[in-house]
Amino acid sequence: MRLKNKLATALAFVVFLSGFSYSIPLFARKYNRSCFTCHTSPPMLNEFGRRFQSNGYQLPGTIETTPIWMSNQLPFAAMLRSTFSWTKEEENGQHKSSTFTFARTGADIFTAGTLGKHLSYFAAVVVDPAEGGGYEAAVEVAHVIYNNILPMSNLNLKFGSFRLDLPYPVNLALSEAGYLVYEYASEVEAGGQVQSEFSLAEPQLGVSAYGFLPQVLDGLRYEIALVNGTNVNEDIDNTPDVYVRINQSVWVNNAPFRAGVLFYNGKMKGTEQENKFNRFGFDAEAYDPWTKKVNVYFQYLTATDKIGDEEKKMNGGFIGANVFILPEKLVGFTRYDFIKVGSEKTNQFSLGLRYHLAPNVFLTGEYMWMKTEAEGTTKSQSFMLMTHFLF
Amino acid sequence: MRLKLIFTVLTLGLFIYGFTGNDQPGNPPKEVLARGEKVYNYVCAPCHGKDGKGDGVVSSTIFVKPRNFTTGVFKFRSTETGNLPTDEDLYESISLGFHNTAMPSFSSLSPEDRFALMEYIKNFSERFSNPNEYPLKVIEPVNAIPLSPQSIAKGREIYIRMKCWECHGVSGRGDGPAAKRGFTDDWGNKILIPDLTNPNEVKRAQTVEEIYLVFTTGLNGSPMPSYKEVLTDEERWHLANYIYALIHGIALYDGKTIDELKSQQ
Repeated sequence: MRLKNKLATALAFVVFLSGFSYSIPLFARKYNRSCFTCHTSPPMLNEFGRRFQSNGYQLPGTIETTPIWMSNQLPFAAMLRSTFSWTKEEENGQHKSSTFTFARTGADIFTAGTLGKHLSYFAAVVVDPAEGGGYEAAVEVAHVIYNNILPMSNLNLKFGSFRLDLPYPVNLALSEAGYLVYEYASEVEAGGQVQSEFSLAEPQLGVSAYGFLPQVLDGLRYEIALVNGTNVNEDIDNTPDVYVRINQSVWVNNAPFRAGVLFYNGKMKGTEQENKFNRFGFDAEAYDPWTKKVNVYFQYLTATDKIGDEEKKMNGGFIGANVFILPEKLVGFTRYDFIKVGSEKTNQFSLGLRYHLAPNVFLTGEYMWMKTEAEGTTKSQSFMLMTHFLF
Repeated sequence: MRLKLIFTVLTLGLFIYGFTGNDQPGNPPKEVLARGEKVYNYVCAPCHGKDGKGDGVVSSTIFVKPRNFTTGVFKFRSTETGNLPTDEDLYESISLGFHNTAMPSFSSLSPEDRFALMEYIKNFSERFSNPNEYPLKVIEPVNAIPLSPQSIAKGREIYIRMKCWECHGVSGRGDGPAAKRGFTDDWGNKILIPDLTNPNEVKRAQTVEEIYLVFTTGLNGSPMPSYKEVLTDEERWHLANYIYALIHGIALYDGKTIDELKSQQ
């Protein structure tokens, strides 16, 4: 364990040092463009960035052949983050705790690009401070993409570990507040311990057919995936789960209105329990058609878990907005989440503001409030101040 | 297969023809326009908008706004001020992109796609189909003056005399007194005066010729005028040499070259 910590620290140190000579991220370096070509504010993708991603991390309309390591640029990028947070918790109206935390710097390191004609890849490593000192590194996702089987990224295939293409990808959100309905876990237990679990928010292992069809109205996005449904952990029964998502865009005065549905059907068989579970949801998103500076989005999701004769239901969703106040400088964001699992209800609200000191350096302040009502009531409030530095 | 071959030959033929005829409005076949529309809606519409007005959804989150194609006004051209760009100019803009903006180089798009795009973009403005706009007055950058300390010094003198410093600053850093008041383009979008000592801030200045063309054609739609009637051809080459030397770190802002500075010490 100590050796692992040392290795992780050494890796983080090397990555940190290399940041001084490579001051902008991977694709910005490769295409010699600012981060804002693809991001509204990193990591949130804009419409062009989404098409770039769908096309196997290549400019839309192009099929590259030169492997990324042949480029004279370092094919890695990283996002370093430092956090200061204040949290206050209450239980049944009584003050429980109040904490101030300065979190050590963590990092997301990723590499992606072209491997050859029609072949590309993406891999991300998360380096987080470990309890007791040092750092822990974990490969979060790593997959190979066979892109443009049908042209204009109409059909692509990816293999490996990847995040499901959710309407609002958890790793591309501006807010640090988790999406409660995506994080809801279906699980099986053995001996009172969780043996395996699934949540939409976690990466999965499997194969996915996905694409973007710009020729259908103003763009149809879809994904059909077969995954193991155990959050990248070893599958305990090798039963493939199915994920289907479809989303249609219609532009009103060049402002996209998007609506879609998603469905997930899975089975988990532990040594003591079997859980047949599903998710069904619909989503909608719109931009104001005049300035295109206000983006409002909505998701509703239900889940059913059948463990033996017992049935557990979840329903909930979120509604949020992003306001692009000053281009390439200032963005505000807010979201309200609600979830009901049996008799337990949770509501969450977040409000944040981000200022870019440079395209790849930004400061974010975010206030979060959460209330859970079950047998008792717990409330928490927190304020986070974060610095992000990408290179 | 045969149809594909005919289409490719037709497109290539038009491709060659398109780059030689700047004296009349083009009339591309429907197939080329259909191909252009398909590529445009997939690649360009997120920024430039489906109808070419430059108000695609990405435009709200980037500082340098995408070109509004419906006006037929383009900054980077090889034609006299007020003229439309040539087909080569548009093709070059698609292929090279513009530095310090969100417009990347699309050189990895196939030549046929870029050609079809160029034809489709021209469809957004009636100016391109108006015979009165033709023939285009194309400027040939000839009689270039080689880069030399003498030419750079002359360029510096012209820079001061023509009051370029009022916008671009005495040192070329884009901090002139007029720049501090702020500028907008013809569409009301804020624009920044580039720091001419920072190659990352200049949209297109890889060669002296490109800079010479900026002084000669002016940047239509922006406050940068054409100096064709105000400066002689020779003076514009000297000025271009000075700006090139400034951008690429060959000269100091006062026009002295590094070698001159060394010899004085």
